[in-house]
Amino acid sequence: MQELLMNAWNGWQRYINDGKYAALLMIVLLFLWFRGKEEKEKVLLIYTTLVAVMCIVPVSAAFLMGYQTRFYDYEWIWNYVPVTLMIAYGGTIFLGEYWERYKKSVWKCAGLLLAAVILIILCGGMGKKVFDGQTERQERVAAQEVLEQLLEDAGGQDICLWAPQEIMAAARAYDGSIQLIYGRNIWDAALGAYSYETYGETEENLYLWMCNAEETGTLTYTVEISEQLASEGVNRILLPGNIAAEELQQLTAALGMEAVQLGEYYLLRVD
Amino acid sequence: MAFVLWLLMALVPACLGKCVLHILYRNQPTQETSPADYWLTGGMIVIGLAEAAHLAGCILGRSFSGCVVLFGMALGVCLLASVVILLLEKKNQKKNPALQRKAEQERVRKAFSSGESDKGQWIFVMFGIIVIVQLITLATMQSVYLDGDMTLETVNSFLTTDAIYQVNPMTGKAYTLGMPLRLKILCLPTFYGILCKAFGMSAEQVVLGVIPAFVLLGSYLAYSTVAKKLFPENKSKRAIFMLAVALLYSVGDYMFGMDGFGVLHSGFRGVTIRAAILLPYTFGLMLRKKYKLVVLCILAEACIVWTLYGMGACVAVAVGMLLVQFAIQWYAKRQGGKEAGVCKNS
Repeated sequence: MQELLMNAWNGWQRYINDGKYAALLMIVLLFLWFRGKEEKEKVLLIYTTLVAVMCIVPVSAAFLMGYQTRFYDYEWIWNYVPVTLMIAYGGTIFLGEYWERYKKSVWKCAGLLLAAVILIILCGGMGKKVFDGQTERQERVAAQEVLEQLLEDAGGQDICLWAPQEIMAAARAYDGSIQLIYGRNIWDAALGAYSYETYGETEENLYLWMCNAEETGTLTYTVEISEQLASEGVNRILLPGNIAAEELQQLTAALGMEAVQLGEYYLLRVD
Repeated sequence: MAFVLWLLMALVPACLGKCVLHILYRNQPTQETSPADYWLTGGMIVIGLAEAAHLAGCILGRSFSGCVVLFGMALGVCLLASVVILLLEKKNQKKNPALQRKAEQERVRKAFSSGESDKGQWIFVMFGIIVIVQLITLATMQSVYLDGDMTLETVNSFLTTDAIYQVNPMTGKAYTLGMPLRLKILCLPTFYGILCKAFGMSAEQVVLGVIPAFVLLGSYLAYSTVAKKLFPENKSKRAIFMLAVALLYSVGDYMFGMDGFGVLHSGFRGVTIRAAILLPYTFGLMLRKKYKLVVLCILAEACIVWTLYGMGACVAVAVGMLLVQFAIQWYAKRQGGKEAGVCKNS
């Protein structure tokens, strides 16, 4: 319960940190409550107000988080609040009333609409991106090209692959026939909730080894590496292209394989 | 084939939904439902059929191809039944003068209502432009958020192994410890896989391209039903409402979990379908007192989102709105009773 309360407290801080839709919702609710006219949609207004308060107060927010299951974080309890609906509704009522008042002046009506649009934009993310979609797409496309060549090279043979992170991330999303020694869930903790499977020391060592190779361009061959690869049934290895030729030669000699250039990577085949 | 998929996804749910609404609301005036209701209701029926096919695969052990056939047959039968029922209804209307009069009145009402104020037309144009830009962005898969989600891998696993959840989607190897049953029974990956198999498209094209576009459109349909309830006689206000929703989506993608983020970057996820379609539709249905359709929303959510034994957001919203409604009615009766007492005394 304490953990839920802490999550509820921190979650609210996160929720209002980047964009201000919560503030816009509060403005709309205050406008609808105090505009001096009887509200036609009382049920919606009262419900939204009550549940919004429940989402803000940590104790009730923790209750809602418990109800939605621990699979979801704090921000998902705001699903119970019709944020988009109420902001759109309140904005429409406001514009509708003031347009009635200024209906003879087109400029005033257009100005009011523009002001409302600017307010929504200012309360949004202001262009701030949560993630770099363009770059991720480019990486995904580049990885898919490499995977296509890999599959062509394999000529229909089943593949068990060990490769740098961007290739491993794209592999099974591209083609379900490619097996991996570890998947995205080894670095994306959120995916861990989808199954009871865990990784052993072997997979974690291989993951860390590959991360080190990508970052530093150095390869440290140990006998354990080849034993671990053999135990996982790996038959295709992709190594980053920034590796020094000497180190690559040492590794391939120790593993008894040949390295072939495949795009920006080196391909090692285990037949 | 992509075009055929688009066409069928637009028409099939609408046909199914119209029939279901005709059965559920036989005695109510037709102007209380709209084409948006048909498509949304039909969409929920399609989810139900996908769930049945999925359960056949993951619990009864049918192959994935078998599930595709099962889904196809079930959908075909439902579609055929819908067409027959709707044709029979039309025939009955022609034979029954009272029904014919009602249909004629409906036609006249619609003809006159199109003469409402056209001030909202230019606002609808602005709304349309925003939607087109959003659709182009979605269809070209410009900005897709895949963190914390494995739908693509799961669909590909089903297609490759011709089985449901026999291998770990992350690695392609057999499960050793398995996965939570509550997650296993969710049908979206199977539904997407069925579309891939039936139309010969890749998982990426369906999951990242087609589905998010339909979720966006479905969301606007859901909000359009709400707009019609909130502003029944005023087209301009409905236009402003829809424009506001489109704008809120466009600039509201600043955080994972926001509605705008979901529809623009991860429309294929169950939580996005719930937040963008099922929940706004549930709010609208509760305001319109169409409780039978709310039950469909609750069931649809249970099929696509991890909920607490089926108790999800739609149930919470429905119960919350009902409680508030009863509280208001009770308060109004109490006030009415007090005023009657005061009048009597004076």
